[in-house]
Amino acid sequence: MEFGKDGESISATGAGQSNVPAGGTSTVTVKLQPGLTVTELGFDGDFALTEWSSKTAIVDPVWKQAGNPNKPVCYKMESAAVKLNAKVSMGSDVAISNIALKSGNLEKKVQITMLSLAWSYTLDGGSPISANSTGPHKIYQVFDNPKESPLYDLALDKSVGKCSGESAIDDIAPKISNGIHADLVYRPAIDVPGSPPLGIYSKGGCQCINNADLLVYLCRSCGIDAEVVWIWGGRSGTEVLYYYGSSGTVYGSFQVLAPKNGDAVQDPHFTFHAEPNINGKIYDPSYGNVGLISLNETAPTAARQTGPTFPPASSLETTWKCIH
Amino acid sequence: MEMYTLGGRESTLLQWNRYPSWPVLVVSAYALGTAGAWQVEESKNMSNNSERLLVNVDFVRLIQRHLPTIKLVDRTVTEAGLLYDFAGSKPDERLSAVIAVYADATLASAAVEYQITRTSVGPSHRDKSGHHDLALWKTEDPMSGSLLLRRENVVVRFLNGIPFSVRLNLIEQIDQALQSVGPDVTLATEVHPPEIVNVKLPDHISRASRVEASIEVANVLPADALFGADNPHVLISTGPKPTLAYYAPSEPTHENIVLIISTPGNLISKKTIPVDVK
Repeated sequence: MEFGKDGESISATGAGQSNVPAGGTSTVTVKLQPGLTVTELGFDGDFALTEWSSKTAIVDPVWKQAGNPNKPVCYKMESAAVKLNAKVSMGSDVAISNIALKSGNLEKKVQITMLSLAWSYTLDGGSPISANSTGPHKIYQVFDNPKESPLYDLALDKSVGKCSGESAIDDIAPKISNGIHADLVYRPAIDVPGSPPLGIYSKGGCQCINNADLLVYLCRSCGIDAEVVWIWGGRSGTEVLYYYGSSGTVYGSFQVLAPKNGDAVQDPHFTFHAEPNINGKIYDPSYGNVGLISLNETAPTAARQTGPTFPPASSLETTWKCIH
Repeated sequence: MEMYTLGGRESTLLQWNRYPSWPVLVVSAYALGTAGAWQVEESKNMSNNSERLLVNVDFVRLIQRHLPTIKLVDRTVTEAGLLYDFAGSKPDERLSAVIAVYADATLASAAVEYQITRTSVGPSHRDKSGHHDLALWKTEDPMSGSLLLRRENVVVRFLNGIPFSVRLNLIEQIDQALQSVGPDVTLATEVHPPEIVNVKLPDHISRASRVEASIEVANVLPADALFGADNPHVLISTGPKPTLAYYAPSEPTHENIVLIISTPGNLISKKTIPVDVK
């Protein structure tokens, strides 16, 4: 990529004296202004970011030569809207804004780019003179316009940062889902409250609906629609039918055949499960799987039910007991 | 038996009926007269002049009284109550807990039922009575599992952290503390929870815009109030003039902001604010 700005002139003036004796030589002393240095840099045309740790907005300048705040910026992948706002020093400070792309654009990939900029300038139309470099500048490249606001840097670290190089939703979604599965321990008895769900990361683990809410939030943060699908056992979509195990404890509304996973025992019983639907496919960040879970057992006459909310209108308990 | 006077007639104190929380005095009065024999019975809670609802719980001091090595590292107001994160000097010495003091026991009971419904596995143990509810989710991992306690109008929940057995012991000690007047707990006959009186957001909000509105409160000093929201598009700044900032989504929508307000003593209430994004 090349950035540049027409219509701006950077000039240097020379000042000196000449006194030439007969047959002698002349020595001219020219006092040039010091070279140009980029001292601060901000970005324009980007999506506003908020820092999760402080809950404060990230503002320009995001890079400084001294006391560098070193903050990230965010653009849509393949964007050609990147503009730079620089403060340069050439004896005195000068602000040069709206330095647009002259050629190239961001790659068509969802990724975190570490962009280093090599600066140069010309004097009175002369040859380019190298200046300093700035960066690396952390740029989140998202799939589309973010659907969550405030847009948190942590959400992009956990979404964009998990699917580097991908550009199709069906390739992006499983990697973000697997990232949740890798980062968090599945703990089906622990419901972590709070909105947005990013606070889950500091707890280390949570239940399925927290994981599902988190996956939806991460996808929406990088511009991809997603929604939670609840799964339970019942005789209709408006009913959940709980049953008991041989110990008398309520096991839930269904059992699945699955290996031990985090706190979930092998072949666990659940009251419900939750998996997001992204672009028509179901993802399970709790188990790291793709596809709607299959129920091994429900109460007699009950079957798998799904819906956008839980619990449904009717919650019932049956006297039937499973053998487990 | 202690002699007792009720309505000018001689009565007899029959029994003390000790519930798991406070003693309840049950008196019966027998009278003989021209209208024939009759009997009345009255029940009266005898705890500190009937002060049986909790209005203030100093949760940090309560936890640190029993676990002095851990310190508070974060506190967040959530829809389930105040989420406290404690940590000690060792990496595994962590505790996450949620506490909410509700206006009455009915609200607290509803919160317990909601939490049980919202948990994807059934509790492994539940012990429930009128004043008290204890639900345990014990797991194979002794460091995991969760615990939920209701005592009258207070709900406490321990997420994972320190060993389950330590948390079980701790929640029993907290239950005891919630039943006695002490430096960490305040009781009263009536509870006046903090209220969000008004949040003056525009009727229509432009998509992708950011709007601010001051939050007017009652029953708590604005500077003392703690806030949270069950909506990811809200940021709240606290202080003498608490302010809500709403970041409208980039697409038209109609959504609710559930705002939560709490006193420092964990007494909470909620207000739902509908917003219309054009």
